[in-house]
Amino acid sequence: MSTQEWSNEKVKEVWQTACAQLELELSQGVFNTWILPNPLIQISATGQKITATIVSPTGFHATNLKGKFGAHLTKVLSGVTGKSVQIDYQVGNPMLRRNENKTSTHNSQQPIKSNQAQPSTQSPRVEDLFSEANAQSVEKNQAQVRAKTVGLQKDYVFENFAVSSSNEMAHAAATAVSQNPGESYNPLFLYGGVGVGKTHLMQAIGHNILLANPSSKIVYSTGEEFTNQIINAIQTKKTINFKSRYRNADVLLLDDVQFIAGKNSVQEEFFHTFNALAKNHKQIVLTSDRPPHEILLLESRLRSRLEAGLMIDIQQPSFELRTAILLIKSKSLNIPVSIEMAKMIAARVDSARKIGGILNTLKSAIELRGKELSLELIERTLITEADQKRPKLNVKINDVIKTVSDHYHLKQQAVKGKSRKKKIALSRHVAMYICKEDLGESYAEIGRWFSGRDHSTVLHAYHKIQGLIQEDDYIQQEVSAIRMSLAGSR
Amino acid sequence: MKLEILQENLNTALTQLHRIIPNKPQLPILSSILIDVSKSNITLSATDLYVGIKTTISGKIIETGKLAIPGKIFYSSINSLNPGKLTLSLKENTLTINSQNNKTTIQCLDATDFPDFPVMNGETHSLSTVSLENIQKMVGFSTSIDPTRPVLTSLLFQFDQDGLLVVGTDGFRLSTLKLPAEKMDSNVQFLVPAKAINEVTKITSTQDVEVVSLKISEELKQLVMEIGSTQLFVRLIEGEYPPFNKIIPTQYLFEAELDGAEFENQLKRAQIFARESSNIIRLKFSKNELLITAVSSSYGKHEGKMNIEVNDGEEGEIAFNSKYLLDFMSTLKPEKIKFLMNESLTPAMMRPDNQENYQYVVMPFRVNE
Repeated sequence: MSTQEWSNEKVKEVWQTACAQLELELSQGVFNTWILPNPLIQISATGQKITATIVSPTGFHATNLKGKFGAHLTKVLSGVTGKSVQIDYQVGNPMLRRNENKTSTHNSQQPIKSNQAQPSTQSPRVEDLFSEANAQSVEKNQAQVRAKTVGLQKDYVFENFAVSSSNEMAHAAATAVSQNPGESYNPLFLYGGVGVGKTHLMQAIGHNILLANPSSKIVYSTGEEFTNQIINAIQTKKTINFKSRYRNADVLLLDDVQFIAGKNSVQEEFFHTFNALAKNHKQIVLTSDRPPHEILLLESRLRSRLEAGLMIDIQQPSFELRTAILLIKSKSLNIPVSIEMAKMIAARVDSARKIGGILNTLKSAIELRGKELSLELIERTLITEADQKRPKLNVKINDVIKTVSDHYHLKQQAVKGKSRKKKIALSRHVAMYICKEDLGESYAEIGRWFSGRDHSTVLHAYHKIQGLIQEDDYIQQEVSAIRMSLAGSR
Repeated sequence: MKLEILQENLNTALTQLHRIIPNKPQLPILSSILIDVSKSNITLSATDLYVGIKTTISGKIIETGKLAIPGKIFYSSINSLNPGKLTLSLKENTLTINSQNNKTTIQCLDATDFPDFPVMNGETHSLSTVSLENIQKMVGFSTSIDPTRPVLTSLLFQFDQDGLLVVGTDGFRLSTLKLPAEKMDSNVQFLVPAKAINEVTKITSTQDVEVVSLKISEELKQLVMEIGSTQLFVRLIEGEYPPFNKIIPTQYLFEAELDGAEFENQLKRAQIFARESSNIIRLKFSKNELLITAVSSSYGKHEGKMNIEVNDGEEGEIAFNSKYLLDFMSTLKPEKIKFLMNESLTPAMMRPDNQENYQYVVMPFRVNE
């Protein structure tokens, strides 16, 4: 026998008829106390038998209604419906039940709407503490706090990373990795010179992963920290802690990995950590100042693993990118640098890190010494700050000639010789420029190495390359690549 | 029915009962107290159908019987008598109370009309009296008194593997307290009206009991708390409790330690001016110092400074409705408090220095500079 439910209207009608009858039979107090608060909310019929559901506000109501008036109520309801009735007593909120039966609940939403119309400067509202925005901000906050405990810097996020041709590849790869850690490119190996943004990108990956999933375990460490931790762990006989910290990570960010080269037990440990993580598809991101094959003293099995993932070279920032970086940094430092000023600084400073230094000097000049931001002030700062020579490379002129000729795939004799072919002449000028700029040799001495050229020839070459570097990104990249090789071959 | 009883005992019981007797119920029997004398027990009950109290008292039973007596008048007349032995006897619906020098007769109602108390079957949890008193003191004040949102007038009790977690909120601030309790394999959650907890602590303060048992009937939506010889019947509150876990920050960027008494005094001073402008009090934390500001548009401005100890972070600025801070300080009277926050628009947290199991989370004011 199938069970049928009566419609709401019909149930209501039955209840009204029954109430009218009960109201006559009972005293007003009894009716108001025992009948009225306990409405009939549902009738389901099975053949000739029907079950009526009555909802009472409390257990007291239900108990007494059943005990004292049950028989009476059954009789009345049977009379009204014309069938034999069985009553099911429930405790609940009859108002809630009624609303549930209605198809829409717009009634209950109205008060909230009227509250939202209030201006936002008012006292927090009842909904505020549990508002979606609040829950989200708490979540975001948790991500930030986690990032802090992991050791990520809060400025190093994708939002303030300026992108141009020299680093767009790296940026794209880092974004992809942060969206699908462990899936897109594993390991991701970023390399490039000082201040090109390797660490920034790496930490931005960490931030993004935390934002999407605040509970993911991120380990950020530098090659040096990694080394020190191993040494410590071995000393205190707690290598097990060290291992569980690194091998249970969801994401491993290892900065300046070249530092572990030549340290055998450290490489050994890193090799196993690497394998354990890679096997479980955990993301690994590494940075270095040069590609794996140029890190001497790196074990070959480790090198091959590092080379198995995606290796991306980040070039020195171009003039445009430096300008963009400068504008971003000046904004975060609250220095109103105009485009003209930014261009002026970017033309004279070649690394992103130095830009930060210049801006800090400017800031202190403005805030502490009360100077006004002007082209003149910048000029003076640049003279004292930017034109300080970079640390001299500890190599000889013949090393420079060798490296330059290797770089351009030329014979050393050709570079040193008298040929005026464009390519050879350019490489010769680059070599001379580096000898002057980085080795600090005298023009005459440099000239002597290049087939006994006059010091004015060298001077000309120096100025020519200096000018080209400002204008031509390609030359600049070449020069910095050669510098890196020179520094690496030390 | 006839019995002999000490005025002290009867008066204590009636003090508990008379509070819940409704003033002018539609059904006159509800304003009465039921006295049920069986061979072994004297039981007194009262109910307004939402809350019910049943308590047994000791006395000398001479003859059994049952009667319903108008509660307020019965309580007042017993309360006015001197301590000592009373003789209560019922004859044809009239109760006679004899004491040394007084004789009172009160007209009774038909005991059979008195509502039956629900028969409870369900799970039982036990809780120490100290825990209950802590719940009332530390969490109870955070609940709302707005009857249109019944869920917020209640306290959430959540028994799980870790013990008992009690939460109270009015949507502006929130308290949570973790207490040791018997371990449960599955989670049990129910909402108890904060008023009922107040009532229980009033009862425990007069009785010397260490453990209160809580019996829950899901079906009847009823909770019975047994405090020694007294049973308190409470209607559980239905509804979905707000997702409190989502809005409690798990870590904070700024943490400071404040002297409780000094902070409370500072707040009270600032409150004088804050009263004028929707109780806004601004707190500015910097290294070793807290600046408390309140501005009144019509009278002026107050600034107070106090020394603090910053444990973590550097500085923080946040504005609150002073009521929420003062509520916390004046109810708990902590010697030292920890103040933790993240940003000026996200909830901040306070707790007495030594109470890691407690959290008081407050929603800050949105203040436009």
